[in-house]
Amino acid sequence: MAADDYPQTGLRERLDFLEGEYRRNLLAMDMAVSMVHLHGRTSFTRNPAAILEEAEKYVRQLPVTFSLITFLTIDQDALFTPARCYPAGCEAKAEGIVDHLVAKGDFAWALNQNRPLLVKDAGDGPVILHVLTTLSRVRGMLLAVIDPFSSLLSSDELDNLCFPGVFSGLLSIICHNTAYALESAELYGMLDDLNNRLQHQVVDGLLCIQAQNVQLRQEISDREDALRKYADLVHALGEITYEHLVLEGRIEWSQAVKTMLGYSPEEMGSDDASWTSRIHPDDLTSIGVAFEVARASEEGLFDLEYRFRHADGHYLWFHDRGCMQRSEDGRLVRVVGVMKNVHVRRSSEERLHRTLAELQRSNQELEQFAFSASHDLREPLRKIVTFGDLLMEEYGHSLQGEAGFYLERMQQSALRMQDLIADLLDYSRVTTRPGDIRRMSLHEAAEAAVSQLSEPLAASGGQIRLSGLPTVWADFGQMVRLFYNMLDNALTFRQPDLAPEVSVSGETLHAGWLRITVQDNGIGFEEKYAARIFKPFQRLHGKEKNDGTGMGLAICQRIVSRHQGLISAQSAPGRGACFIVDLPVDANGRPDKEPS
Amino acid sequence: MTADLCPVSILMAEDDDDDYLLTQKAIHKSAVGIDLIRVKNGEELMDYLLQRDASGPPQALPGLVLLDLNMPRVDGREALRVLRAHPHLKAIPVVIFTTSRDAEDVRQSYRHGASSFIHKPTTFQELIRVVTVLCHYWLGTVELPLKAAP
Repeated sequence: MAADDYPQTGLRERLDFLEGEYRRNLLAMDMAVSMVHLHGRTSFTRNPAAILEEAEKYVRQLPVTFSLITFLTIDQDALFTPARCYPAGCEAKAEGIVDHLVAKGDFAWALNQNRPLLVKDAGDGPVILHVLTTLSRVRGMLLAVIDPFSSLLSSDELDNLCFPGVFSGLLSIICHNTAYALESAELYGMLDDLNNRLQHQVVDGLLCIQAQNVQLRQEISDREDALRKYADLVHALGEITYEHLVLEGRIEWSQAVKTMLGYSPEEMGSDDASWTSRIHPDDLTSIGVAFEVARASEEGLFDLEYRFRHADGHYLWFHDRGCMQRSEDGRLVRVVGVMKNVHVRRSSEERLHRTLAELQRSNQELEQFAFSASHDLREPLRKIVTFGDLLMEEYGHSLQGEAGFYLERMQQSALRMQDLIADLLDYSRVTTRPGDIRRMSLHEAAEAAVSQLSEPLAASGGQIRLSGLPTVWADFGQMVRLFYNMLDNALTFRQPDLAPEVSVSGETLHAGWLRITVQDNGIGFEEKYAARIFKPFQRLHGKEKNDGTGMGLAICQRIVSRHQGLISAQSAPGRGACFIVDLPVDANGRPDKEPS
Repeated sequence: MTADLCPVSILMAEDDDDDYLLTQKAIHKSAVGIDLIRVKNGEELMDYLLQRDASGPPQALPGLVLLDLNMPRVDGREALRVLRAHPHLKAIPVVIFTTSRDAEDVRQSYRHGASSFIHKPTTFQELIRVVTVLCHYWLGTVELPLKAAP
């Protein structure tokens, strides 16, 4: 249309045109103002569909009738696909138009324009393409098909739409807004993702910390339980427990100090002297030795007894057991222990020791006295016998009546008393004049005894057999005497018309005991006398029947006792006698210890 | 027995009068014809011997010493040690004649040079036998015949 056309048109037409122009401009202004709302509604939306829905509303408010409005967005494969269509369900149609425009090159051209591009020959009607782009990247494309029949626009107006004008400006605002809103939505989405991830991480971290917290609380609770249990135990134990922190020079005492020693915590103190100053001076050396030993040992354990001063001033015996801890460089760091009051036990032990020592001393004195008495008795007795002999020798022929017989009886009694005293001396010698305990052969001892008895043995026509007698730790002289007395007994108490048969045998019993059995075929004795025969001066048979003082078996018992053994006898009249000697021997055949 | 020969004698160190008496009787009974001289303890024994050793001829010394162990003042154990340490007197045989049956006494006596160790016998007959044997062994005496010498 040319400017010089106006004078030919009527005034009415020009007025109508201006009015229409004015209305359109007013509408455009109005819409431009409402665009602010578009921005407001879409800027904070995270949902692209909602943004497109909003944008579609604005597009439809434009004073152009569109038969198809579609927003294409770029999918993951960088392809433009319809994201929103008006009317709904026209996606396929829209794609057909897009394909057509792509093929014609219009689509690519529109991408570069950043303004509405009108494509008049697009099939169903003129099409407006507008790229949805931000400064950084393309977000999509608006494709709107103008309804050529219902649209108010004339062909000229359509032309105008393509150039900077009110509607194209509005369309650009909508498209820019939409593009930015889409970008914001994506950025916000990413931000939200990031935020969510961060939140998850934070939550995970928190959960982890919480779990650790629970575990720690459990551990603390367990330890508190253990501590309480320990404290209860210490309390129930009722003994004094202490912890000596050596480097700090400090001792922590348990409550029992008050009840057992009478010191209040203040009186007790907590420095080194609280312990050292209260120990009995006589015990310091032994404690020092025990501690040195513990210090040098691997485990650092000590176990000792000493006297500790009560608040009253008297000393009590304590049993102290504890453990020393060293630092890596070997320095003593800590000593913990338990002090147990053993005063009652210790006192009774001391009393017992004193009594025992007293008993041993008095026993020894008694034995010594018996020894000396019998020894001294022998002297005058010897003289009685000798002078009696002399009397008989020099004046026997002149003695009248029964004087000689009386003298003879006196002499016999004196001689018998000599035998008794000699045996009593032997009995007492077993303990007062013992020989050494040595490794010796019991077989040799028995042989020696047999050899000493060779004369009566030969006279009796009997036999003595030895078997199984081992080597043991014993007093050889006493073992010879033991065998001698038992064998002498067997030969003495023989059957009148039977040659004596005696067997001496040894056998190892259970756990370190040796049994020696002496079995004879003599006259035997009643079982009820089995214990009595071992008592001094006990004789079962009449004096006229058999010689002897009744000391032989008593001496045997004494010898066996000195070797910490047991002697017993079994018999029945006319069935022979069996003497049993049980001697303790350890693995090496040694008596447990040297008898005192 | 000729005049120039000192009679052989036994010196008995014995504190007990009875034992001395009985020994004397036994020597008499055994008819060995030996003098029994008596001192009462170790001190007297040494005095006697040292004096004889210094003044008289060797024959003046006893042919045998019968030494009791348990005596007052200087006992037999001490006397034995001194005697055995003396250059001349150590040649005299010393027979311990005691009631002690202590094994330690026996050991110590022999260790210090005792010639013999004899327990005092209980019976008089045994005492006679002991004295006779001692004289035979250490003094070489010949028992005098009880009947008149030819």
